[in-house]
Amino acid sequence: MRVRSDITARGGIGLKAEHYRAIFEEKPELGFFEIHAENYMGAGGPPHRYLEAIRERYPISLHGVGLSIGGPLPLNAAHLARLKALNERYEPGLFSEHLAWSTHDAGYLADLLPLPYTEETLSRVCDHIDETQNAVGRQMLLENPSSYLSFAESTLAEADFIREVARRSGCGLLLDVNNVFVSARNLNTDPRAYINAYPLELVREIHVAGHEITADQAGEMLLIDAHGTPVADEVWSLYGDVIARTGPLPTLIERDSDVPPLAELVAEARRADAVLRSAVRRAA
Amino acid sequence: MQEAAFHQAIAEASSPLPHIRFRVYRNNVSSALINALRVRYPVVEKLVGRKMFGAMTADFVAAQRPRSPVLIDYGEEYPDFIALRTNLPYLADVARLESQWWRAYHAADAEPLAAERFAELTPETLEYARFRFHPSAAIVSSHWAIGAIWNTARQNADLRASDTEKPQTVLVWRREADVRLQVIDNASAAFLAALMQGKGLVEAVGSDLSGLQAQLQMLIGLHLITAIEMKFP
Repeated sequence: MRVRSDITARGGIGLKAEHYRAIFEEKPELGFFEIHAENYMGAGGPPHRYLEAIRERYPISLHGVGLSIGGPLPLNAAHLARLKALNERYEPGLFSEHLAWSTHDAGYLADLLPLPYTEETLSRVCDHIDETQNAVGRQMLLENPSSYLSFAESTLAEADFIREVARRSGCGLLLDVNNVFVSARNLNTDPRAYINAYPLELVREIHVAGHEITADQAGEMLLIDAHGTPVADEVWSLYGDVIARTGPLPTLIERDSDVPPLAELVAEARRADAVLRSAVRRAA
Repeated sequence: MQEAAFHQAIAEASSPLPHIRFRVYRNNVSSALINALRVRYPVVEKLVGRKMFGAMTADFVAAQRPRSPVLIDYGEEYPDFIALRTNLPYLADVARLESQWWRAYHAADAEPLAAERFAELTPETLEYARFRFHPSAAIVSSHWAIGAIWNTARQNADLRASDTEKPQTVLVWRREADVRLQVIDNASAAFLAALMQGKGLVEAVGSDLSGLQAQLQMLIGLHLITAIEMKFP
């Protein structure tokens, strides 16, 4: 029997092939597992086998990284069909994609690349989200990007752009708190001002992740959204502020490189749970 | 920073950086794709070392962008590409073997045929039987001992040059969740290859029919076949 696909307001973690066996041995208590859609677009074999089994015990959240919603090219129809098939097969509780682009005439670029915020890109993004929601047959959540630079031609602030996209397209929002922190540091803005301007009432899921602290060639501090370390304390603090205002929301601990043993990620999910519980207590 | 300049600079690795921080994006693209190939070709990396693998693979990534966001399919042409960039004569063939391991891992699921179904073949119908193989099954041949090299590298054992200098043919297939590699002899390789091409048992086994029983037993024992179809003339 399958568990309900609804995702409750608890901590979850990304599903990693390295953890397949440990999940069945340790049976951790978690709100959900999130999968990168593209990792489950092979025809068959162990990835689907494990995911089927995990799906019987945990809710699943489906997170796409390759649709290129923010790009000028038309969406890839074959890719939309694959996303639809995954949604039908695994009935994820949440489905999300990025405010970014990744496909160019030159091919797929395997990164989440930025776009300027203008009336033109606003209508492009809304069209792409309409097309996605129609093709997949459900609401998608749009995730805010991490930025390393800004575009001269932008006429809208990112938070206003996202609010307008959600209003026009009817999509929900995935708020990546680490991305807010990373972008604010890199662009010399205030992350709390971003949160104040952001349409928090439309947020259905939160991401938190670790970032890498480096410097650009001019010696300026540059944060990279690397997902290779535990979540930083400053990001936990910003997350606490967000949850105090939104109330409890499903929260993903993102980790994509230097993946530690399962128990370490579960411990970070527990830390999110503690913040979520304190928000419930405050509301009571 | 202008959007048009950003797009051009991403597409052409040789174009000048349009912004001091643009390098972050170019590095992210490159390292994400190198990591995808590191996952697909771990034995190649063990054989050449992390540094050499990084340099060789960066060249491939710059020359060949993925055509699809499904990175599972990325790197099909990698073995041919590295063949021209290494002094190890067996490296490209080991990469072909690893590439086939990966294809077998992600191949479609199919139930192997039960052994009893083979017993239904009678001497009269035997030559009309055609066999459908599990979608993961394939044969990789080399002038080098690719099966032994693959095994040795996976176990982090030392590789003696003399161990590499022997032709080997490896059968790759998946049984439930496990991808299997098995070195097979020339007669078995020719037999399986003929069946995979849609030939019948008698033609596949060649002039010496005495080997048929043993080859059939191998076919059944390895759970390679998912269907038997009768093709009457």
